[in-house]
Amino acid sequence: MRIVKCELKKIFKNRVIFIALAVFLLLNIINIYRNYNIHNGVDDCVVTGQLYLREQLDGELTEDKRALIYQQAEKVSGLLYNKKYANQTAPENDFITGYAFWDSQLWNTYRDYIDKAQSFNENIEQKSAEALKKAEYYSGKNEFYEAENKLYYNTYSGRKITGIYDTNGLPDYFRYSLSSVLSVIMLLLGVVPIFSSECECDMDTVLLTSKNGRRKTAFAKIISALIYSFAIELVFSICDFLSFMCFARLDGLGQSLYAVQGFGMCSADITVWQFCLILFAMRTIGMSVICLVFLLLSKLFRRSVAPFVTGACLFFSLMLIKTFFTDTSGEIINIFNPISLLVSFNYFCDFTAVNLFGTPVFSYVIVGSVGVVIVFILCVLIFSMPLKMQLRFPKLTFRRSVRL
Amino acid sequence: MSTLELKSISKSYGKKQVLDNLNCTFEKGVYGLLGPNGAGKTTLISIIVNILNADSGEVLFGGKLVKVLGSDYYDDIGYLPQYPHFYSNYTAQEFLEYIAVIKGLSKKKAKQKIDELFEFVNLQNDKKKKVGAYSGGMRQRLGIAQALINNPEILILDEPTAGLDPKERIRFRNLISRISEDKTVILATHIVTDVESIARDVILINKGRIICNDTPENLIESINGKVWSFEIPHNEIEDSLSQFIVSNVQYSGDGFLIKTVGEKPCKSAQNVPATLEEVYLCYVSESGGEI
Repeated sequence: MRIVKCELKKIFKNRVIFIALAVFLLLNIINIYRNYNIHNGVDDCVVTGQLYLREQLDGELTEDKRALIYQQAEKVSGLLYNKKYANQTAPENDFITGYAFWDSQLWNTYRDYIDKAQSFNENIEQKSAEALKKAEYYSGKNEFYEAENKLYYNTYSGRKITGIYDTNGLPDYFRYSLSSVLSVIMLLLGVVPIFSSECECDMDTVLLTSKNGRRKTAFAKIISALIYSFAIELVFSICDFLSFMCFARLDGLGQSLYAVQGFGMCSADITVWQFCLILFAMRTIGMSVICLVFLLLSKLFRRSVAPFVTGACLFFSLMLIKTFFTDTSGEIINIFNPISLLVSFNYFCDFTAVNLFGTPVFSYVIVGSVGVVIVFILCVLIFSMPLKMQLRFPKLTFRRSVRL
Repeated sequence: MSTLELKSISKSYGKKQVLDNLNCTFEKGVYGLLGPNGAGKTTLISIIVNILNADSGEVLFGGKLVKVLGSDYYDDIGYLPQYPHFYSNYTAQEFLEYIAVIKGLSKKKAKQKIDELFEFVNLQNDKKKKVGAYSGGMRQRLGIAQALINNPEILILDEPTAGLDPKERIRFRNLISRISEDKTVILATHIVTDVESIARDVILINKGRIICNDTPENLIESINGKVWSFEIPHNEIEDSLSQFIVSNVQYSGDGFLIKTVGEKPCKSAQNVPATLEEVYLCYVSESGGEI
């Protein structure tokens, strides 16, 4: 434990880490403020009205609420046919926002929520029933299709949206990925020097001739790199969440994820809160994979510049693979791509099951599990790599030649 | 006090034989490991400290194979590498605290030992300074402190005085002398004056072989009668330099006064007392090394 503390101290002794962290957090907050602020391009009166309606209406959908929303939507929309309100220039106290037009927009939004919820409830039952029929059809003909349709039925049957929430900000929050890029840069800065800097300052031989400087230190370095990676992910996740809460005014965190726009066919029956935690866990696994890849590069090179450049190029390549390899074979490749874990919301948007030895398994389960396995493999690989690698394989490791 | 024995150590990189059947025993005192650049000193040290495997041969400490001793061996080893930079953003105090952790010292013991060592290497007033702000000499003294923190029986110093000014070099030599009271100190260098006055034994190594191993006095004695001094005119200096093993050239009004090692170069040459530097030149040239 003392060695892990020392290794963490070594990482955080680097002032660049703190400067970069401060700059990146600021950049992240500014980006969220500029692009996801609820006030962006909207009059204050509209925002005030929106927040007021949220307070009044968000929650379980009751008959009273339904009646009120339909009634108000119809009433205010009807007013817009009146010339007075169609060209209204001064606010009036009769309206929540002060203006008939904006009130009609707000009430219609809530009416849409109700309509969508109703249509979802009807469609999902229909689709579930179809899946059950298909499962019966494939019974004895194709085991995988049968199992896949049964899974579909089990996943979606009985789903019902019973509440209404203003969920517009949530998809943006789930899809937000700038902080992941910034976290990876932080990993490059913190993790790349872990092994290579020991060679740079001639401490590698001192470590190798010390009682705890060999395997114990290698193990401590792996643990400290993972702790650092987790800490960075946690800081950026908290920053994202608080910034979105503050600027985008996220709402409806307690409702089912399938009630959020774009997540109607979500394959996991979880609440938004739980989904936030799962996304965090997936990102943490992804970051751990990237962190360990950087650590491996750090182990292979004797100077920090080389693993830094290689690491940055590798990350860029992985991003390109994730973006452009979208066909079936590309999807298989991307199961092993840690970037998939950083943007894992995609795997929750739809019903995507992978054929695993004849059993349908949700792709997010596969991607998460593969990530954990890769983390474990990389840990074992780095730990079991020869301590004196540069002396045994001077050409392979790009380190300076042995002094004779 | 356990002895360190090297038995038939050989090592090669590809076709190049770096160490060839080396045998040696180290007991208490300073051992000067002398040899030209590329002689195999660092490879030998790497094998002694068990960071490099020999192709054949054994390293024994206290009669036991160091491979068998495993990490326990490192309890008795202190090592100062060539040109250490250490962690420039650490203070000397933080650095030694870290070394204490990786050497397995308890917190209490480490604190006490660190205070002692700062005093011993005369850095007690600079322990809060960043290592990056240390001069070369201060860094080498800090290096000695880190090597001594676990109170090892064997201290191995690889080119410890390279780049130091004369004052720091003398200071460093005195430090080593004090340490050698109850330890084996192996000092690898190609600077002869580093070991001349403090070494109990000098081991001359060239092309991977030990070409002589004896006390400085005996080595000097062994070439007495082989060191010559004579004067030559200005125009003969180039010829003399290529013809003889020249240990010193001194300008005199009429020409140059030169010192050579080997057979009597000319009738006018006079026999003069030898130094360890001439011993080095004599043996290295005899073993086919480049001077």
